[in-house]
Parts: sequence; structure tokens; C-alpha cells
Amino acid sequence: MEKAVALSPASLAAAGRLGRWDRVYLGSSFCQALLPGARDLEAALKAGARGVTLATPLLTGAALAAFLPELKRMLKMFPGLEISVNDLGLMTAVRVKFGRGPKLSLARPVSIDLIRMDKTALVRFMRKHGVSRLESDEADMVRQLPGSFPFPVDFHYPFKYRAMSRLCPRTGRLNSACAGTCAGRAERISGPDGCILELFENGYFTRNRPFTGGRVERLVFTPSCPPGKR
Amino acid sequence: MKLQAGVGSFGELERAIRDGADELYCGVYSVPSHVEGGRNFSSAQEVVHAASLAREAGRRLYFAANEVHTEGLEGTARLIRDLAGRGVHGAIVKDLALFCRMKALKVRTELILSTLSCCMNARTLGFYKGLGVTRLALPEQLAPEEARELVRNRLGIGTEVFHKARECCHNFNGLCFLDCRGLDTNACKKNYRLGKKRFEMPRLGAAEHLGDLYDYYSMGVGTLKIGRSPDPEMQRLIFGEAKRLLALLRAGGGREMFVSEGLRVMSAYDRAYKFVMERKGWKKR
Repeated sequence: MEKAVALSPASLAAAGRLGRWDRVYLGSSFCQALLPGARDLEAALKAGARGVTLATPLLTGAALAAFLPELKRMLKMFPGLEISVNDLGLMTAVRVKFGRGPKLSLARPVSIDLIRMDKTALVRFMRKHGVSRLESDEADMVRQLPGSFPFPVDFHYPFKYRAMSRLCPRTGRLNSACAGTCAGRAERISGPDGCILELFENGYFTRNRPFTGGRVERLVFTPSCPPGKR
Repeated sequence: MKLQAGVGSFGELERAIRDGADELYCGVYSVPSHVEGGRNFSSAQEVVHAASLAREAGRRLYFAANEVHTEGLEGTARLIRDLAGRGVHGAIVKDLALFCRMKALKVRTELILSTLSCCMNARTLGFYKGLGVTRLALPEQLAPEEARELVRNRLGIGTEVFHKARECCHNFNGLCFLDCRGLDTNACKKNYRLGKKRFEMPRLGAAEHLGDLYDYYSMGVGTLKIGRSPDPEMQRLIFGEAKRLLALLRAGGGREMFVSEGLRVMSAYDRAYKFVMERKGWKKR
């Protein structure tokens, strides 16, 4: 079982040495203000990252246009990069601009929707676009994947996705205008009926446990505050 | 800009046509279509009849099938093909598998990409164009400036926007798995505590949404869309409000004037909503 840690650029500096993890997910699957750049990749590699997956969220046109040249630099810097995609525009752009080389993984939250679609169609979709991994945080959905499902699953914990906002929950402003001040810190919010959600980046989560059944081949841990600050 | 109204009964359909809706859309209960507390027709036969009534009045009727996953995929694709052959003008779709299945079945009809699909940029729109999409319901979470490349796309794909000042999710609606049963039971509308402080999930205010609507109108978005509602009276109010806002837009005047007049219109409708809600024993949203 491969073990990975997920860090945003904002929390990378405090994370310390990364060599104890098989892989680092760098960036954010939820917030486009936390897109990884070449400097972040360089810092992760200097900190001992052995394998790197760039985590990317849904992207506005401007964010996508700005990210592609940065991605080109990062692919040159570390040709073994994996790219975890939510945005179908980014997925197609990677294939058009960089060919079949870069490995793609289907990221949360879009994967949470797509894992519910017809599995034959899901497999066909992933094959057609060269997507070689599926990410999830739902043990029950991973269990339901057929034994013949041909792709490995990356299981994320301890945050199970519930919803995501375009407005930063901390500032109330569009996340394209944010400076990443959340810095990888999770905060708990509690509702009047006792429901509890974890506020992390621009998303709302509940807690889950690591799951290693089914097609899971990689566990991805997201620290609730930068590891160095524990 | 055209007005498109969601309807859930023949009464609503007739009223929407009489009140001036340019287009209509509806669902059936047997096909998931993200209708939060709203109403649908009971059978495909009713949808076909609704389409013929719409056609007689010179209107188009679309069929919503935008929450279909594994279950009912084949049946829904065939249903859309059947409806397209019987006068329904097009379908509102989200699921990739459904698009692919319809393509395989050679379904020839107008396809509106649901707002739930979170199509955030022109490259993503190009991807969906390949699946047969002819119109896009803009994601609720995009700002007009961000949506410009979608609205002015060179793919020949038209765009529509919801009446967001009245109907807009706090979070990405197609990717929200919070409890959502309508009105104030929705998890996104609750008052939370963050430590000792009060916390509410952020959302834009009416003035910001009205400003956005002005920008969308100026940019050339083709359709203003009104969702289906749990109650016909409420539906009629929301439609009336949207119609008045559209009249203000058509009358010209600047953005500031539209926002200010639009807030006045909304304030009048707020009182009507409150009255209807109190009469029905609903809590304030």
C-alpha cells in the first residue's frame, strides 16, 4: 500500500521533511487559489518528496490559462509528475498539449459524482482520456466497484467531502481573489442540530477512516494542520 | 434574453404560457432531475401532452433528466429519444454516461448541459460540445467576468442563467452532498458555530446577484431561467419577479440603476413570498 500526504502550497513550508511518504499530493483539489506552481514543486522536491501528484481543482478559464505554462515548467522539472484532475478542460488540455505522457488521476469532488455513473461508461471514459487512477473518500462506493474495475483507487482520509464553495468560507470572497491564508488548517463548525462539519480550504467535510479494501492501492492523508505546526 | 420557466403541472404550464414564458421545462418523477422539493409530471405521456400544448402556443418544452446516474440510464436515454420524436424540443442533461448513451443511440435533439455539470471554462465546454451539447446552463458559481469566454464561445453554444438573486445554491450545486430537503432544512442555510463565533456558509447578496444579472444580460446570455418550485403560487411569484427584472433590463439604464430598481422589485416580492409562506405554515427561508 502506497502512503501519500496531501499538502497545499500554503501548508508545504511547515510540513518538514517529506521523505517518509511515498508520495506528496501538492496543491488543492478544491480551491483554485491553492494551485501548485514550479516553486512549490521545487520546495517539495528539496524537502525530499519521492513521488509527486499535482492536485488541481475546477478552474475558471483565466486560472486554467495561467496554470498551463506553469504545468509545462513543472513537467520539465519532474517528468514523472502525476496530475490529479477535477476539471475536464484541464484534462483535455493536458492531452492536447503534453500528449499521453503525464499520468492523470480523477480527483475528488468530481470523482465522487463520476464514481456513481454507469461503471462501463466510467471505464470507457477513463480509458479514452488516459486517466489511470480514481480517487475517493467513500469506503462504501469503493467496495461497490466491480472486481474487474481496471484502475487503482487512491483513498483520501481523514476528510470525507460533502460540499465546496466558490466563495472562501473565511473571507466570503471569490477564491480566485484569495491569498491562501487558511494555510492547510481545518476548523470544526457545529450546527444547531448537532451536525458537525470540518471546514477545510473552501470545502466542508466530515471525518472518515482510512480504507484499504477493494481496489485501493494508495492511502492519501491530509493533515488537519501543517505537520510542522502540530 | 428569453424567459424559461420550470413547470410541474398542467396548471403551471398554462399559467406560464399565459404569463409570457418563452420556453418551458419539466421533469417526470421517475427520472431524477434535481428538483429540490419541486414538482414534476407523473408520466412521459403527460410530458408529450405538455409539449403539444407548448407547441400550440408557439413555445418550446425541454425535458430535465439531470441527475441520472447508473440506475435508469438506458431507460432515460431511450425516453429522451422517444420524447424528442414526439415533440419535446430537447433535454437538460448532466451525466456523462447519459450523454454517451444518447450518442450511441443517435438521439437527435437539443441538449442543454445542466448547471450541475460545473462547466467552468471554454475547454470544458469544447469537451461537452463533442458529446452533443447545444446550450449551456452557466454554473451558478461563476462570476460574469469569468463566464465571458463561455458566453462568447465560438462553438455555437447558447447560454442560460438562473434567476440567482432568488434561486442560488450556497455551494457548487452539482457537487453538494449536504442534506438538502428544501426551505430551511438545508444544511447550507443553517447557523453554525465556529468556536465561539457564529458561522454561515457564504453566499452573495441580492444586490450582487442583480449586478451579475445585468452583466450577463449585457454580455448576451440568451435565457433567464426560473427553477421548478414546491408550490404553484411560489412559482408564479418567482416568474413574475423575473419578468419584471427582465423588463427593467430591456428598458435600458445603467447597472447601478438596474440594481437599485431591481432591489425595489425584489423587496415587493419579498413581502408576497412572506405572505405565501406564512399562509402555508412554512418557515422563512
